[in-house]
Amino acid sequence: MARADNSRRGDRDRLSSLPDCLIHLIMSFLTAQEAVRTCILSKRWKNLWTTLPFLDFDWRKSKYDRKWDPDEWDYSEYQIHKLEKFRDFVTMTLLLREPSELHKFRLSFLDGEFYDLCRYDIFIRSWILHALKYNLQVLHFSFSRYYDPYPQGSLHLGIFTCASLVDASLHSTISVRNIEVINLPCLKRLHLKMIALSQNFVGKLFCGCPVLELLHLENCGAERFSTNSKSLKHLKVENGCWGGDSEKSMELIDTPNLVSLYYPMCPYIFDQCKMLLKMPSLTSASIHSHYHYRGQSNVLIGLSNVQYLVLFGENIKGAMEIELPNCPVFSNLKNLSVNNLCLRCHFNILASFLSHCPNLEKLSLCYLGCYCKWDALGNQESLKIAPFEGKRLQTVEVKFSRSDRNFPQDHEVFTGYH
Amino acid sequence: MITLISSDKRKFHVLEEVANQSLTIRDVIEDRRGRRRADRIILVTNINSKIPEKVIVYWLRHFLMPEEIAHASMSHKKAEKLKKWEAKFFDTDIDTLNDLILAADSLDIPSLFDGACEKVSDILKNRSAEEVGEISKIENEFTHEEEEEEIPSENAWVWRNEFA
Repeated sequence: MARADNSRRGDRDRLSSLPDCLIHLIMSFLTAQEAVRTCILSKRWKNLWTTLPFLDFDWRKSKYDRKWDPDEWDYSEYQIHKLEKFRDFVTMTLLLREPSELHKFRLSFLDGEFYDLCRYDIFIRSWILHALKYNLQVLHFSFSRYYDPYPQGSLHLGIFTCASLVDASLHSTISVRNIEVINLPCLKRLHLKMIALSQNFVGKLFCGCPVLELLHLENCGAERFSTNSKSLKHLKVENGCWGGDSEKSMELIDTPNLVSLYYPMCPYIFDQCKMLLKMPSLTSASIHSHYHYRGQSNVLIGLSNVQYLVLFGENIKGAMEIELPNCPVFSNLKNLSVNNLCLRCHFNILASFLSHCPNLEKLSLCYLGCYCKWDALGNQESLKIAPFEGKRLQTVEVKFSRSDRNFPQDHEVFTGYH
Repeated sequence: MITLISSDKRKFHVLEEVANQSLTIRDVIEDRRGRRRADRIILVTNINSKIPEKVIVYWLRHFLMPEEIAHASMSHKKAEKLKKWEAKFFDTDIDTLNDLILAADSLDIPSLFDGACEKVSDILKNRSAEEVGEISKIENEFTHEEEEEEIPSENAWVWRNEFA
């Protein structure tokens, strides 16, 4: 094909004159498929992808040039065909690339409605095994399937002994119950989602990861969570539930450098458990409570020096009621936000909580509506509400759902404080 | 106040706090701390004057809203606004982006570098080789035979329908 004469100085191809490492960084924003396709651009670009240290294989973003034709295929057949092409593409890319460093490997292989992904276990295992050989630092891996909630060990356990790994994110409906050793000397960030953890996984994890700074557990079940990590700065536990054992009903989290915490009010659904939190550096905390639970967990005591606090969850009212008798004074608290607490029915809970926050500057309230009747407030007037001074309170933000017709009345409740 | 001098000898005076967003400059200033004023002049030889202007505009915008504030308390509106501003900032021609990448690399400004790279990568996305060639000025020096036969057959696996 004839091309325009690009001899003018301003029309030079300056992109191609960048060093390989910079072009690779530009290509790091592309999916592996887009990156490999740059091979037809020019001779300079022909082999650039073969040394690319960032590979992002995303099933959902993968393009398949053949459109679905209902006359030719069932939709499920088409999906299976497409998946096979994706599998071939990943294999070919890994086979044909040079044996050079691979810093980042992302594999997203989600939502198999139409096919049996078990057949892909062997491929996924060998891809990851291959990637781990080239000084891998960042591994993001998500692989979920509908039919087999707890299959055993499709996750290659080599991941947990990879010396170069810095950042790992694993999302899969698999179990790592049979894991023996964890040794990740460089790991700083770990995100686990939907993974069934073994009995003492958390203990092993903190032993094997001396520099771990961020741990995010999402929908992971485990036996118990106690740690005394010195390196941990951010801890986030979402919808986790612990089995717990009735003999040992104390959970100790002693993390001197923790800055932010996202944690359940009480992670044990079936057992009563006291929590002992030692977090002198903590500045922001989000505490959620989605289930009814038994007995005080005393989680609030460990949070007495936070500046930002968020309380939310379906059962936040019940949880606050239980915890209030042992609630400390939050002398540093500047910013409080409480969700899912009905101002009409539970104003007294909020008011007595506020009496523990003398230096509050901003209060945000958000709830999605409650089926209570406004009459309920009539009873509350007889309740003795601890006086809340709130001398520094500057902003009160109340968010309502639009359908809530009682908004004007709610507003009146607060007028006394302005 | 420090002074940056570009390759075409133009001078740019910047507050130290602002220029500190470049990790390279921060290190240089740190090394020369306590010395005379003449040492607060930094030569940025590999970039022409158009680029320092842009870099300084970028610095000033980010200096007004440091990323550390990206705490739970930061409003989404501000973040949104910055995002919009950045989209406009990077909406420029390929040569400027190219220079920004080089400048951000040598001055070590991670967020500027990533922003410019992402913008260039957008050019490579979802386009045919001809379109990319036109925008990015990448010269395709393949011979006719290579283009017609060799390249497609070697890379058939990249384009699925031909692999079937």
